[in-house]
Amino acid sequence: MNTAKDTILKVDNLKLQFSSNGQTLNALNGISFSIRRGETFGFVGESGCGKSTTSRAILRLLADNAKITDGTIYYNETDLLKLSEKDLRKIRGKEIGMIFQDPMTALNPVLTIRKQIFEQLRDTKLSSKEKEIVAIEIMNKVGIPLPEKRLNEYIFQYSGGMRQRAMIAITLAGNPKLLIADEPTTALDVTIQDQIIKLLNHVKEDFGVSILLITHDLGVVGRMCDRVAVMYAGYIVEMADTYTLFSAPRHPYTKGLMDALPKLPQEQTRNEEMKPIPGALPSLSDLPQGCPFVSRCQLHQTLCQDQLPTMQEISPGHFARCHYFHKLEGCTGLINCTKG
Amino acid sequence: MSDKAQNILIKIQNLHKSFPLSRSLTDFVLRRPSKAVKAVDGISLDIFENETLALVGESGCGKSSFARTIINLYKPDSGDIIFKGNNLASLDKANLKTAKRECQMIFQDPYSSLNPRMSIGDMLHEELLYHHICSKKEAQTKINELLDMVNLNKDTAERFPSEFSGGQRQRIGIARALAVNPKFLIADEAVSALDISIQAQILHLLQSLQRSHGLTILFISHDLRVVHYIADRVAVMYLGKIIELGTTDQVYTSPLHPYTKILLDSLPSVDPRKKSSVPAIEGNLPSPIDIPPGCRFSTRCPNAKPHCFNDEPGFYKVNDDHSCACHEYIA
Repeated sequence: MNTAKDTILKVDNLKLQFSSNGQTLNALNGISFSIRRGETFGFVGESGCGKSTTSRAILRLLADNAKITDGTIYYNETDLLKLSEKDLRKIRGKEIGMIFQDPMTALNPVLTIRKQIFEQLRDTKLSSKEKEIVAIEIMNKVGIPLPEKRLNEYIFQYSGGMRQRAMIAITLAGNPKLLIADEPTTALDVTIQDQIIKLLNHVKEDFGVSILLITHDLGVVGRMCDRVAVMYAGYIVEMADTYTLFSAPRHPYTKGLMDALPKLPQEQTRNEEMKPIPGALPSLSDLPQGCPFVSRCQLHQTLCQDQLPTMQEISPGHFARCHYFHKLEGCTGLINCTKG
Repeated sequence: MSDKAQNILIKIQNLHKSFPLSRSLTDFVLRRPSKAVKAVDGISLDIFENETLALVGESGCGKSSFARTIINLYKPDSGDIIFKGNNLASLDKANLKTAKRECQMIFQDPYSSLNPRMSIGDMLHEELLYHHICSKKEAQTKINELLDMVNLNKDTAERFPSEFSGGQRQRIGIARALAVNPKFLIADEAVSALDISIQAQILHLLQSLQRSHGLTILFISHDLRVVHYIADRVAVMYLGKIIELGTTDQVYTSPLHPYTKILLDSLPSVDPRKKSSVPAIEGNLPSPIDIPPGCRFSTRCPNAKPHCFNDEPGFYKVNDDHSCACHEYIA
């Protein structure tokens, strides 16, 4: 459907295992997705579902006990999994930048912000005067006041929201084409979160980057993403554009997440009670043979216990991994479903 | 839920708590006065029996300090906390122990608030005997009852905190808090670290326990969705003071204070068609060491008038049960 030209990243059947204490944890069990140029693609799911692992696997920023057992990751025409460590370094930070949840641990505490931006500009052959101009311009663009002064400061001298801006500035200095944002607003207060969401949306247009957003917050997805993949126990269970996903989810887990989210008054289109999803995540070392969601699913039948459902295209661009997706109908009550 | 009998369980009057900062040598030489973080800066509040009162605000606004000062985990600097006819602020040690037993707390991170080297059974056993809740003989039955109440298996008692998931640990934290039959429960960000599906389970549990045990809950959270779901009344805090107080419906559907309005507006909506509607609030929370003069929100307020920078607003009653600290609402 998409030509290779408008796809920036294509991940196909990615499988990854962690070995720990003699156990094998199946963290990713065949992840396939692609990100188009200029779009924000979101990964949502609960802790331990593999969303961060996926993003780290793209840049091979993995712990020693992790092993990619299958799959391909194409960035433009390059298979990142086949690259040598040396060639991969030309991609990391330059082609694909990453921003993390906690700038205090992600940035270097003993270097000034200037040094960290200059480090990103190392290969550009700019004079230090030109680098200074570029650095100030980037600081301005991410909304850090008094950039001339603040470039000389260290990350601990910044407040929470400003730290996140500084990290975005440093990442953008590498001029990446793809930005991986791993829970970029999770540690922030709502008022500051709002500022950072607006900044990232703005940066996307301004710098022409694509964003891979990892979050557990459905609200952040609604504000930022064009398309979303929902992950559960190392599988993508549903994938669609944001509006379709929120208005008509076709996987019981996605529906369950939305039912479990406490609603705001303006979102209560119908008088529905908040419903928890019973049970807990299955252990990654002992995944069921059939559908990973079977033990918590309201729709499950014998078929679900025996056979892992495949990703089925329900409508153009809307995929779900459920045998009985047709039983899920109607809207979530989260947003008004009357198309308009 | 609003037609409950409105008996006051805890009456808090003009409570203050500040944490002094150490003075540097230069401050000493230059004779600068020592500074302090004013975490609770004059709060008066009535908490009614059987209600769930939510305390919301940004990090660093003093929510947790306020809650801890109420139950004397921090000694208040001044002010009164009247709980069942006793003033907790001036109670002697022996009576304070009894009073504290009736006020229990559950925390955000149940892992760091459980002893990693004690099995769940031992932990509950110790607590039951220390507070003379039951005899040694009855303890085991009581422990089973408690675990059953929070929907955990009996074999939980022999296991250690590291063997449980986050949601299960939070259930253990709740069982521990309820072991001593408290009247008043403080839930400090009790569901913030949990995933959405588990969070909903714990919220349901808290609600049903509130009904069965006649609990009064002070629910501290920064998550406005959760608060809307669980709270009867909401108090909004900003820099050590309550700036708006009302029933959940009033606060969410007709917020009065500009800060509350911004807080509610900045909550991301899941509807992708609603792209950002309001301008983002400028700047960060000012430091609680140097609280701005006049209205403490004036530095970030979009409608600040000249007098807002000089005169501190009172706490005005706008209509039944709904009050607000903003000059706009002077009666």
